[in-house]
Amino acid sequence: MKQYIIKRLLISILVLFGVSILLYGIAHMVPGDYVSNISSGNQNITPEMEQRMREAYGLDKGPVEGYISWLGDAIRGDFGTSFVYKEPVTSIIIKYMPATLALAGISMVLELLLAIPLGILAARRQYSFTDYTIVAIAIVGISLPSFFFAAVLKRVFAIGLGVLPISGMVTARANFTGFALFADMAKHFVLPVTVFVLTSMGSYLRYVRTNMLEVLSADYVRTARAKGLPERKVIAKHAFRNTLIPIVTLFGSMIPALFSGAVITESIFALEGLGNIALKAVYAGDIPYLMGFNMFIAALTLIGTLVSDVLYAVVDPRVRY
Amino acid sequence: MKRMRQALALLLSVAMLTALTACGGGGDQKSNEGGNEGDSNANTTQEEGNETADNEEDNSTEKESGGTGTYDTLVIGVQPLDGVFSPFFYQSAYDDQVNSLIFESICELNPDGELVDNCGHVEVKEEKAEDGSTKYVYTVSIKEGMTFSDGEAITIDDVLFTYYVYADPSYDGMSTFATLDIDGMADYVNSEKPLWKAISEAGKENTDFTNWTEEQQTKFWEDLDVAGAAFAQEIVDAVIAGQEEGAENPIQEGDVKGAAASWGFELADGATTLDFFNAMVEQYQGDLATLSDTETAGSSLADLLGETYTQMVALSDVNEIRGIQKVDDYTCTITFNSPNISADKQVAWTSIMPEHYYGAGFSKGNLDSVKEKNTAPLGSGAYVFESYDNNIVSLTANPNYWAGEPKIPNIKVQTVNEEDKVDLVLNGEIDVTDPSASTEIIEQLEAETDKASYTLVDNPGYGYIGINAERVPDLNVRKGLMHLMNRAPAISSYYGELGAVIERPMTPTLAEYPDDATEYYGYDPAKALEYFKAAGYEEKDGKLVKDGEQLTITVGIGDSATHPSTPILTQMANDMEAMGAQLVVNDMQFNILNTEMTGGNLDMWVMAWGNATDCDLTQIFGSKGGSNYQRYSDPKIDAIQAEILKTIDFDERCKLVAEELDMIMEAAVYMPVYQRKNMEIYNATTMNLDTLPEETTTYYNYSKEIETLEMQ
Repeated sequence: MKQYIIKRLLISILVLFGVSILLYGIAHMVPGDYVSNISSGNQNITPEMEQRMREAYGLDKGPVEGYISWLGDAIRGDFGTSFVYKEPVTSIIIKYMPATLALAGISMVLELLLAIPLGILAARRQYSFTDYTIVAIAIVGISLPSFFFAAVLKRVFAIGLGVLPISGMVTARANFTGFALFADMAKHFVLPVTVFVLTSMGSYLRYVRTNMLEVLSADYVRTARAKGLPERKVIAKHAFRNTLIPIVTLFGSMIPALFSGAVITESIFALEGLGNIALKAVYAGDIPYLMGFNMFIAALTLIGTLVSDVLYAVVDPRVRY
Repeated sequence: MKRMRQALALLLSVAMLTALTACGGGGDQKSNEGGNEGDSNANTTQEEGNETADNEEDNSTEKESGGTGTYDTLVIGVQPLDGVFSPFFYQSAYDDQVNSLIFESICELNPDGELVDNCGHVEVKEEKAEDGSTKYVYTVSIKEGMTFSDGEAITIDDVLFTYYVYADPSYDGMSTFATLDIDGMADYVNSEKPLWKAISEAGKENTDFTNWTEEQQTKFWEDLDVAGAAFAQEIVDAVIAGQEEGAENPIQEGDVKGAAASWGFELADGATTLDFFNAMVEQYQGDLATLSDTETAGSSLADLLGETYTQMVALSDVNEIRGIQKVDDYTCTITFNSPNISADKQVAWTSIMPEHYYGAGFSKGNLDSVKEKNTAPLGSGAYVFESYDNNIVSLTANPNYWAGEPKIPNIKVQTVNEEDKVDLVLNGEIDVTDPSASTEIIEQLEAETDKASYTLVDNPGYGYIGINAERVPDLNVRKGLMHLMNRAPAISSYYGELGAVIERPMTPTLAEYPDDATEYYGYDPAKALEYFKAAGYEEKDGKLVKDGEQLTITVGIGDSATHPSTPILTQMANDMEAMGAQLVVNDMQFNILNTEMTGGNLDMWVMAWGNATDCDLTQIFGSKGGSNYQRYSDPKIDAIQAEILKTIDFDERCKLVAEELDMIMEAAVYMPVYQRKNMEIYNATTMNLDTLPEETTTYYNYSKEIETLEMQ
């Protein structure tokens, strides 16, 4: 097992290296660099100034030269300074992470808390009224575009009824501290979390339901029932634990999603999270930030897949590495 | 199936209801807390002694932020900030909005866009220099007795520090200060030579001590001798140590001549290591850097020079700008070699930056320590920066503000979405913001005048359609194209009252804009066809061709679905098709449009200019202009532009500008399209609208009189 993990980690380093080349290439292919983006529309900028700025930002070098110098710094842990925010990339990621992580984390926990029991319930009563209802909700959730759903929620609860704030993270006018601040933030999170949960719960729910159905028709479940075990025990101990096997693999893929942020939801609710600023970086041509952030997500994705493979072995005794 | 649908409907409504109750509960709890908070707010305001509240309206807004109807915080809604709160390095206009509250500039613009005194004064005087040329000396003075928000006194040194940062060779912000024709500026900016190099090149006998002192020079040469001797000694040691055992004539310890000979240098008998070094210097013709790199036997010359070297590398040969001189603690002069109509703005419309705060660790060519303070600004403006987190900048009133402590104790600058701006004001969450003006917003606001009021001012920029004169070299073709642009219907249907067609490529917010200018190229397809024919195009098989090629024009536009100029292009394409020509409309993402336009790959493009503060158009229409993307140059335009920049007399300048703009129109490279309005809305339930400035213009809004603004 240990050997397997070490081997996987070593391969991951190679993969990251390849990913970084691809990302850098793509970042450079985006038309219009940062300097031309900030100077377009400003008639006071002279060509000499533009040239000097390009040199200052290292944009006068070609992609190969640029990549090599980026790689040299990155290996030493220096991901450079963001063009837009004029701060080290790592400190920006750390600064904007809490909002994204809180939003995604809370939503994910709620999603699982809703998706797993509802999925099991639907599977146990397959083709019943309950089953149809739950599946219908799931499909509605999957199909609703988040921007539309968010706009509807905002119109109804914030603008129409006025019970929830329209956007932002805290009430600017009030200087809340302590618990009041926490409660204020929680209130600002209600709508974004609702959007998150309802639009992405569906796929987990369907996943759980399908797996549960498969397990319920398995021989060992019939055996358990034949032994005269109470239905509750059959479901909780024999069926559900086996359903878990495919579900844990989902956990791994959730790790990067925790940090990558939801561009649309964040921007609709004016939450400056990682997703929102990554989008801004794409528009601005902020290569250092894009590289730093995408490499961070790439590393998390690799870690995520490794974690799901390891968890797989943990929950399924048949799997050995 | 029917049963299922009914059930679904039931379930959905139950879900809705649950959500509602849950939120409703939270809301109640919140407003209670808000009430408590409001009480304490009210106390603070009472302590401040400006209880002005007599608001009896009881709406949900007030519950949220303090049931008593008293407000001590102004909330300004802005679009996402970059968080670069430094007048030196900001890029976004919204960051600058925060900066303008924290920092104070020497002079300011008045509602008409003219420079007037703020906490200082600027005046210009012509002087004859010794060489007979005319110099323009600007005297900048600041009020005495002002302090920064931390209590440190403001002196002219802080102003000079500000200039030096803007002029620094490593400066990469938006200011164009370093490009001004200030006496000695070019020498300062372009001097890349470190001091040691300059001294060593000048030689031992140098007597010109303008850029360095005699002491520095003497010390350098003395230290160089010591270091040089040590450098040579290392070589000698290396040669001796590197000899093969039992060589025929081994070089003895201390035999510099012998060692030098084997290193390739002829020296006299009894030569010292210093002689050896000097011989090397001679061979390299004084190029110490190459000498050190090539000949070294271990240590570099720089290592051996030690401290002297480090100091002299840090310093440059030009460490001062000749034209910027301190007169006394509150006055300085800036000498320009040539006249410049915006020089007063450049030197006096600038924030005073505290040297004691930003200047620690600053040396020429190294702005790292200044940049470190980007997220923690300190200035002398009306408000003091407290924090920036959760998308909100918190500011508190500056008790040391020179014009008196502001009346509103707190300001919060919150990032909001463009689409939410109006709702946020009507909901009472924010107080001031700037949505992009539209007729819908005006209708909405007119219906709720008790909740909000608004102002409309002209945007300091304009939209235009440009033609690349290199790709469309024939003047007649360009004129023909101009006659196909039907601007009025497009602009009036898009903007209504909020935009107007303009006739010359310059924003009418500038005082020099010729208000009496009339339409140059009216919409007239028949005339256009005449021009095309004059250019040599003929109708053949329903196609307009010249030398066998159809007249085809490629135009780039960004986000055409929502662009005000789209109808112009649509009509143009139809008209051209009817004539047998072709207009290829490329809808592009803005970045791509910009790249294609600057790269000269488009015949025609639709864009806009902003940020205009003066009538200098050399960047756009001058033959050497950096933004001359129409690639059209005319020595006559260059000449008149140079003339305009020298013409300080306003009326005279207006005449010249009008003439210049006519010349540009005649060249048919720029079709000015529209001038739009900017909107600002104010919350009528929280702010005391009577305390807003009497006149709001492009150059003057509430932030200029922030210290006298009051809440309810």
